[in-house]
Amino acid sequence: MNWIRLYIRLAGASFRAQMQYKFNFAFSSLMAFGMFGIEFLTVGTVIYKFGGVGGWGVYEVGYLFALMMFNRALYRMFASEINGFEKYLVEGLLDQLLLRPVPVLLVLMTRQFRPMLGELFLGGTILTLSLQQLDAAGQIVWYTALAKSFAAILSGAIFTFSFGVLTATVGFWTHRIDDLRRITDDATTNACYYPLTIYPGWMRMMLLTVLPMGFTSYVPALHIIRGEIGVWVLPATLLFALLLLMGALRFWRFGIAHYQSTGT
Amino acid sequence: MIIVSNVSKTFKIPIAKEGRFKGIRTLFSREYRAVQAVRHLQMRIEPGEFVGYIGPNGAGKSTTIKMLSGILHPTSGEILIGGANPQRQREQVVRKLGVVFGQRTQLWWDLPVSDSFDILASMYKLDARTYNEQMRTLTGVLGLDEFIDTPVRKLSLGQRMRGDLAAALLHNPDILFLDEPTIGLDVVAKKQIRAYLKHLNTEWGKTILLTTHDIDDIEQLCSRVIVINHGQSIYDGSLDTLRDRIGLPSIMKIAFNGIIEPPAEEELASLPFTITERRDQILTITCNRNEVTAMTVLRHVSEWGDVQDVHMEEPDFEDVIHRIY
Amino acid sequence: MFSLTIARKTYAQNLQYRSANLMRTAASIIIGYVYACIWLGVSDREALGEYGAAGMLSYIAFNQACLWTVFTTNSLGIDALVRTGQISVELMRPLHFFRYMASKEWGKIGYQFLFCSVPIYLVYWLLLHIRLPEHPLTWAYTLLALFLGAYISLCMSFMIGIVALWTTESRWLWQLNWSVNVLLSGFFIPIEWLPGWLKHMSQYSPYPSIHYIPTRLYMELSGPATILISLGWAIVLTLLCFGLTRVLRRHLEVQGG
Repeated sequence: MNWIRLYIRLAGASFRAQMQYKFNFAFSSLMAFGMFGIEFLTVGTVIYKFGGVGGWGVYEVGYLFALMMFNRALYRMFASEINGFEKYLVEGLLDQLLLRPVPVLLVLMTRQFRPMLGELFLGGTILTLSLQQLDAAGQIVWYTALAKSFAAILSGAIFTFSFGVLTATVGFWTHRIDDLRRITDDATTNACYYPLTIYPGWMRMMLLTVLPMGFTSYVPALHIIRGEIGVWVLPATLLFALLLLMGALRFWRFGIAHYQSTGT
Repeated sequence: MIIVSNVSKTFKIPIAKEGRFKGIRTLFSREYRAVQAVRHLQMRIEPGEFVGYIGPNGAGKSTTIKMLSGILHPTSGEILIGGANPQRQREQVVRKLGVVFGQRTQLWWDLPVSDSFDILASMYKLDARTYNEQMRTLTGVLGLDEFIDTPVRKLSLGQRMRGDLAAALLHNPDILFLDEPTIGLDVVAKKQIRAYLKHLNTEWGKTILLTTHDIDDIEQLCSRVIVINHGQSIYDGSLDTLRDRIGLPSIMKIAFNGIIEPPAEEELASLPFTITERRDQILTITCNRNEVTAMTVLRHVSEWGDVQDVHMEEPDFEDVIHRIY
Repeated sequence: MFSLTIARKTYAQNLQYRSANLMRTAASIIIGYVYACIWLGVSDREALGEYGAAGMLSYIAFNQACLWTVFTTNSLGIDALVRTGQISVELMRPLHFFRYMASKEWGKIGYQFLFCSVPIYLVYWLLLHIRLPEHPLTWAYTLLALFLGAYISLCMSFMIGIVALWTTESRWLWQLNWSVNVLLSGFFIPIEWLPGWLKHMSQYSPYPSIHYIPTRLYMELSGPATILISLGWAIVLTLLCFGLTRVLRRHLEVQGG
């Protein structure tokens, strides 16, 4: 409970610090919103023009995209500095965080806190639209699907977060992680905007095992909007996400013990 | 109490391959070069001591401080601070520590100074009464009120250092680690900071470990000096004893009016100093002032001609340490 | 020549990180493959028109390989120069500021062409059997168009860097530019398939010169005359960049450097 209060306090401070540059904050929020919007427009154009992909309809792919958008937004909101962890290692900023009587990860999570309202709004719009259309087509009942979506987003965000932590931890040995992140994060995210059916078997296999980002959107969607697997998949995904999170946190603690601070 | 027993720290640095495809081979190679930053360090610091920790750049000072404060894990050996291990019980130990890195601030850069204190108070779980009391005391001693509402990025370096000291002291730790707290400050600010540090040690009984490149800091503050070089502790004792041990090599430049008539070679050799350079009407003389006083040198030299001016140079303390060990 | 020396130095500087960049190249190959899979997976295959499934695969793969050649540094690093105050030193170089920054970037472009674009192209050629040009001259046209594309991208980065003087941060503007580029340059979607208003926006912007024109040339779907469009944009943007450098100088004088 105390930690939650501390989190709010620290995140608030980080937010206030950014508000010192109001124009810059508004500008960058607008740009970020525009960026995600155009990203969606790009994918949407193709899917719409060609009536879906990999046997999935326009609104089904839209639903996948919305889930991913929420995952990304939540991850960036709570852990944007885990994503940018390389600079803490290279510039030795981590030393300061290690001096606090608080878990390092918690302090790290409060840095550069952004509300990501634009992204959440965009994700919400696409989600609403997709669910509405799929409901109208009689494929789903919108309110159960919505409730299940929250569960999917929760486990998806935990997945993404755990992946971020795992990748960042590797940095304790290699110091450079931005390039590794391109595979564990950028490549897998790009792949999971779409149904995994479009990929060859080996790649689908990889996205469900070695880099299991397929569980953030594709697997839950199989149940929620396609009804291809049972409801059991939602708790199972959440359980998998929590296990991964525990593993990631353990690996993180192990990594910190191997931290080689930069010299003065 | 701080006990450091037989602590070593080895950094592993991957060896870059040479020759063809060296990029790829380095990526997959498992060969490392071991760099020993600290070797078999022994140290015991009692409560209330003010210890100066000195040595040239790269000697292992910062590595030691980082191990003491739980940032780095020693390769071997053990550290105990107040009976607890700063690595295994990091969160418990750092509550008792105040750490200042002179080159970096721990204050929130874009927010007013007071906000940083609010945040730190909740991080260290101080209740409102303790916090207010502590703030009042610190404001009195460090003169915080002149800049408490200014954003940190707009503070002068001296003000920022006072703010950083207050931030390190807010949770009332018994032990302070200060890594070059006077670096980059002007003479006035340095004096001020030294006065505060003296106060913290003598009035409030804080145990302080200070690293610095400024020998005046050591001279005016520290009752005890630990010298480290190449990762090894090479001296531990009072500053005076250290002075006696390394002597006081000094250089005197003496300018004459008119002709200089130094004595013959054999007589020169018997003198307790040596002439290292003679140019026009200036003699450069080196001597160890532990063996001979400047006055004695002058008395000898004034017999050789009409002394017009004397200039004395004391060598850089660190330079001497570096040369001797 | 001073520009050439600068370009060579940046090339050498980038060369040091080539093992780290290996990972980046690998990621790039995978991402490009993902894009290709999307096109191969579209439900209405008939609609792929003159490209066909194999053509679309080649189109996407070639774009992905070229990406690193036309992918210039965020604002050419001008925002960092402004933040640290280093800008006043750089403005004193005995070379026009734009040419100085451009020379630096050309070194990086050269490096990325050889160590990112070429390997990615070869991997796709080996694994995906992408289409090769039938006429030898096509190679020359393609390279020329690619060169102009890289230059246009470089000019746009420079312009974003100048805008950073007023916004203090250019990262987001850069990322927005990047997203617009993906949409309008034909990187992911051939321009003729964009919805009407986007198609018009694209046609009147320099973006197609970055991807669409070189790739269509490579695939021998359009003739060498399209290079003239790129050339026109290159000239317009060069003039703009020189003009903006004057604005920059005046701005810094007012602020006292």
